[in-house]
Amino acid sequence: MSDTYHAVIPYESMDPLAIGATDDESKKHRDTLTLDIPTANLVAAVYPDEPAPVGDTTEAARRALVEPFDGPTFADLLAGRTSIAVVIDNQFRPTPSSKLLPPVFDAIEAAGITDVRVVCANGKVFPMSEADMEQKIGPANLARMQANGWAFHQNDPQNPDAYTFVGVSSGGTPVWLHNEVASSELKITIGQAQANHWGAGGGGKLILPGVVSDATIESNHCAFVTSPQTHYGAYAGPMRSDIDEVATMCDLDCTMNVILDTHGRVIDCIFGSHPEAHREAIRRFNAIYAYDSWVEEKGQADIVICGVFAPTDHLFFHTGWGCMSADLVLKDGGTIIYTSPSPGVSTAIGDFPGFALIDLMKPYMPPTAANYERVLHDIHKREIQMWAGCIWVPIYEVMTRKHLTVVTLEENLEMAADIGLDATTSLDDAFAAAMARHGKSAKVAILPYARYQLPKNAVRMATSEPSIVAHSTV
Amino acid sequence: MSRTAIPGFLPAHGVADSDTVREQIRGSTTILEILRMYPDGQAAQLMSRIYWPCAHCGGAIREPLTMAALRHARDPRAVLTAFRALALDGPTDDQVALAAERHPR
Repeated sequence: MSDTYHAVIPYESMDPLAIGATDDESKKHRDTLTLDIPTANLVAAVYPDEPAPVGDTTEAARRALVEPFDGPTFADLLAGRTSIAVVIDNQFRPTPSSKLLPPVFDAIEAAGITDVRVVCANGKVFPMSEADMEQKIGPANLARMQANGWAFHQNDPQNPDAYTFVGVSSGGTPVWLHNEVASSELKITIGQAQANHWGAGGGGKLILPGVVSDATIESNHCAFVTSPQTHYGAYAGPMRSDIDEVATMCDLDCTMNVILDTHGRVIDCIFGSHPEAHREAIRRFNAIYAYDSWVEEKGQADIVICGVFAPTDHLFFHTGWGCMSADLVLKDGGTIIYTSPSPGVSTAIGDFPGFALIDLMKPYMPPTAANYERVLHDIHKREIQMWAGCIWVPIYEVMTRKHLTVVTLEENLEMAADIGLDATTSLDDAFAAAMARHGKSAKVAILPYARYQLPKNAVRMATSEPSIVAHSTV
Repeated sequence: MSRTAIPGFLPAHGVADSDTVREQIRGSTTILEILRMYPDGQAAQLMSRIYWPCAHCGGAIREPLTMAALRHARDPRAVLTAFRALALDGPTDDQVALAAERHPR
């Protein structure tokens, strides 16, 4: 066996103007970082075995609609209905909506339904501009919507006139649903299924937070984001459970979700009734990206090196979710080395740097247990808005227990320093510093696609399964 | 195709390319309007300096500057002064610090 392991870490980003263009390789920045690690220190390097992409995404979607995993076909659901809301995800999700919509539109036209609206589930995120729409929905689909007189709407969370009160979930979340969705007889969401630190993405998540009011989003996020049982793999955790319950309250009929590989290609497309079809999509995702944890055999790592792959985005705010997955296999006091170029994003209202929104943690730096208490107080007082806090707060919480070093582009270093983040352009330097911190026998693990990857024993699909607490050994 | 228009909203000033952009910032000027007044990103940068995520927040479309200040527990006068200073090659570091200071309710 060689004395060193030559690690190749993806260091990628998507061209900020390539929103939704997940199959256009020319718009992606693909690079790798390499690192030689003493073999004796390496406890795991987890590279997923990904299936081949489906080839024709539109045909895969068409097939999924007639072969539901659960419940009626889409055509059967449409029969006898007079109105439909087609809910799609927003510009910060790589779901190739432009390729998934044609068979959905074909079926709607075939059913003779004319009262149709497409609604962007942008939650509290800045809405799509016309240029974003063109990339996300596609010119042909937009032309078709225009020709048919089908409206386009976006979530408008601060406008009380835009919502209908639905009720209160068992978790106490008051639910106001966008009028255009609430008034539709049939509701379908189209998104991306993936594990994340709230449990999972896709499915009912396009309802909450996608198309509900500010009050609903904040109530759910303030109550459940900081729960130790809200973590990677926690489909049955409090946050995802509330999301799916709210989607059920809102009469979500069906959902179509794609699984995207680490190159952004569709490798599966699953349609069917809510929530069963989405649960199946997550099971299939986990079958590829959940790994056997080495912790029981070898102990928690001292250092985890995480990579970033193109479709995940261009802000650390989005690429950095893997901090919470790495947390599950890293000892307290350990080091996360997160390689993320994070080149920033160009939007309709200006350009924003790679660490945008992460700067929200600055008033609470340095990350300590005492300062985390301040964070919790300010969440309670609603002085922290949790639509953004649902990302930076979990990263911050991890930072109270573990050292985070970000390997990033030169242009991000000034902002990182201003926030108080440890950042460098050199993986070698970051690794050398971590080894100095943890000693010659430090255990090192590599999660090259950390945002997708999770230990299998963190997966909790049903409430009947024993709970785990994210902030401890897995 | 318009680069900047934001379709799919109920009426809100500033979402259409044809909406006129005001010349002076007032307390009633919405965050979106302020962002539109400074397409080079100066206003977005100032929001970032005072720890406001407005540039990524859908609420920015309807939120007047004064209400945004109150929502973020800041002194509305200090915030208004800092944003108005954009027109005068400002704000100064002191103006930014005052706008960034939290005033718990």
